[in-house]
Amino acid sequence: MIQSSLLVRVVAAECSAAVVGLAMFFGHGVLSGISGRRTDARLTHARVVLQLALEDPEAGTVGSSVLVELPTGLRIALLAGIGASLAGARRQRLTAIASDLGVLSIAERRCKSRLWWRRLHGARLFTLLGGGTSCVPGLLGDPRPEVRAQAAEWVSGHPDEETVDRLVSMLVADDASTRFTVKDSLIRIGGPVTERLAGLLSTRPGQGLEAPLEVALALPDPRLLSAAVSLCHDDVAHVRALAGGLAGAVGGARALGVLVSLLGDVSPEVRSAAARALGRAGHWPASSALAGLLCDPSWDVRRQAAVALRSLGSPGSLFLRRALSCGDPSASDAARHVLDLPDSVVRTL
Amino acid sequence: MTSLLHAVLDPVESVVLVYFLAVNSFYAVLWVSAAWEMVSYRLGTWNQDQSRLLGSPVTPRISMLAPAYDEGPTVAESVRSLLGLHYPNLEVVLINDGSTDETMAVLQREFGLRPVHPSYHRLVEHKPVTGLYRSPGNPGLVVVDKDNGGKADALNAGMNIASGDLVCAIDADTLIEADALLRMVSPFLTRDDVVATGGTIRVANAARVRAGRVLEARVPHQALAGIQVAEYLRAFLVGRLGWNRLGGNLIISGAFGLFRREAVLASGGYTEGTVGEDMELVVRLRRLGLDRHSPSRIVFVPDPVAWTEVPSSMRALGRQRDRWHRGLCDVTWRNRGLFLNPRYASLGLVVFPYYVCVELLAPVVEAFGLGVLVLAMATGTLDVRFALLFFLVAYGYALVLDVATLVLEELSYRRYVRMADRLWLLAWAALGSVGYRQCTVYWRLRGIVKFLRKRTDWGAMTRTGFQAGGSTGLGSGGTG
Repeated sequence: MIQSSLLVRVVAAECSAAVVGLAMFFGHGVLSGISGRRTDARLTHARVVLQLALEDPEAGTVGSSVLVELPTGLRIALLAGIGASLAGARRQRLTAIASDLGVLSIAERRCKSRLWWRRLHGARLFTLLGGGTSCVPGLLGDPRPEVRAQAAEWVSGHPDEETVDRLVSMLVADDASTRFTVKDSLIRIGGPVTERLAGLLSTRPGQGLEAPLEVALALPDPRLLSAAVSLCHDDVAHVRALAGGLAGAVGGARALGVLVSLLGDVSPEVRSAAARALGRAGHWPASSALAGLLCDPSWDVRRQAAVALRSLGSPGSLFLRRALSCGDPSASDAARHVLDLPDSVVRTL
Repeated sequence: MTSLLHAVLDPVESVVLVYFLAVNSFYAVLWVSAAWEMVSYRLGTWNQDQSRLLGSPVTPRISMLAPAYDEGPTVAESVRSLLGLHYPNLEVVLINDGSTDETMAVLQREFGLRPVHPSYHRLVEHKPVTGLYRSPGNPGLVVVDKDNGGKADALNAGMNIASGDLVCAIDADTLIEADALLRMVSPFLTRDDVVATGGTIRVANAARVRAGRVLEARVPHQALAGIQVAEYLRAFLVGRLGWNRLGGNLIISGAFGLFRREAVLASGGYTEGTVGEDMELVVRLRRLGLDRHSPSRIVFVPDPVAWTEVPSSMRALGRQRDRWHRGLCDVTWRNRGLFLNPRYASLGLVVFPYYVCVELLAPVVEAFGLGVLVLAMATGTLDVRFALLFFLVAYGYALVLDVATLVLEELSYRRYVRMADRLWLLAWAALGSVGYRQCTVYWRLRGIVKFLRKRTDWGAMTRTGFQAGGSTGLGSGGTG
């Protein structure tokens, strides 16, 4: 059995642990309160100085003594806190101030750290404050996904040929951890990405092109049309569906012709995407073909066809009203539902 | 006679002691795991710019599923609060679960609802939908009017009608922080194998609330609610977070959980006829994911916060805990094939056995231990000094864990900034093991008995409303 003396020792150890814990709980609270009041006052003053420096390009780093005297942590918090909301000339000014205050040197040192979270923080500081062209691109190949994603986010503010190429290549890599950030960054970069996407979409087979197609869909450009039309005949249904959406977003007679042919695709996903794209393109000559899809066996296809018809205006609505009295309850159901929807809702579908 | 009693009681004592040691050692492991996870999470989110998601065209669509039953006085404010959440691609699906009050009339008046033909893809079963409404002024709002069928039934109806890739199920009187979805969606954006994420639930009883938002967190001065503040901190900051690293969570709170809609529909939606439908869904998602080699990861994210009103009367609290335990019994029984099954890896070998041996059986062992204690006292075989010391060890250990939880909260989120609130919090944490814990043992035992008698009623939850702004609850948690 357990000796009583052992229990006494355990109770003593528990008491000690509880006392240490309580000291941390209350001590941290008290210290945070005191330092919080002090730092709040300093930060408020420093924020005013920083605002003035950002407003007036001629001011140099006027009042920078106030900023220099801030402890490093507060200096970083002050600059990082404002970084995400600045753009243009003010943003460039912030980069210069951060450089003068040594924050960018800190970020650079962190980017070279052996600890993943310090590299992440370094890349994040460069993303918020600007700068970092010498070290952040190297982090696109970092072993930690968090760091790679942050570097990809940084690229959206500092795109050049090499980094955009790198992002596009990351897009087709099977790496879920960075896929979203890479897609988002490429969409934010916009124009320079289109040419590379067109090249990528026309040279690779369909498998693995889902992410590039999603980016292309957000950046519709005539240069993407050939690749889109070609991928509308891909073996993978999801790729055909995305390519159909892209073709519809780019528009033009060639694209619309392919979309009408996709209305007869074997995959409901593709038929549905084609109907949606035709509705968004406002291609009213497709009304009759879309009306035919109101009797499709797939609920999604019927719904998208009905929404597309509604988007086409009078010609589409005419077909929807006809469907109300047709013999197929599925078709009349879909038509009645969509005709009832307020315009503001239809615009969001 | 005494020697016979010794012969019987000694091994029983040993079993209880071993159980006590094993369970408490595991709690310590859980705390260390939670602290590690918290440090890692905080380092990863340092100065992270969440607002970037707001301007992204590739964020997945989220449908908030809000079941409502007789919520007439608060439903309009709740819906406004949901529509005002910071997320770029949001749909709010309010399901009126056969309310007998003016819930529908209020919604129609406040949002200018227009009836639309109720056509939707019926992928999971539920009670008949009697009306579907859209609001011209709020294109993201869908109101479903249906026959009363309970929470699971209402959520299934919402699941069918929702158009989001992700669905967020919320519960009665949940107040969601404006940027919670931006954080909660994060695991879905970085991993393909995630099927559900959960956030922290905090107690809103004494919080200052305005327009459906918590302005200031406060610790209630009322004992029952106050003790639950410490209890919720322990459950979420230590329990859920710790499991992230030790094999994944089995519970996503019904009050606030984000799910991949496709996965939920493929698994058959919420199960009716159980009072633990949220846990049942999560266990099923994990089990089916492992069976089918499809996504099955459940992630707990500590900083998306939802606030809830906890029961402040013994009667209501007893009913809630009894129901929770009945739910646990039901879910573990339905999924008994997972127990120590190596095919399910950590789920079968660690997580599920923990829920059975600790969460489910703890009240039985505790009650048994207390019974043995009483018997030993009555027969004079009890070493009083030893018993007192053992009680001190047990109480001291619980206190150390509570203090450690408060330290974790203090060093991470520090939501209770007033010194008075810290003192109250400490007092309630210290008092939780005396009286309150024994009551929960009784309620949970009652739950086991009711489960064995196959009772599936919910019991009513009496709400008193939040401070300054009133209750803004939604849900049919206690209905049907």
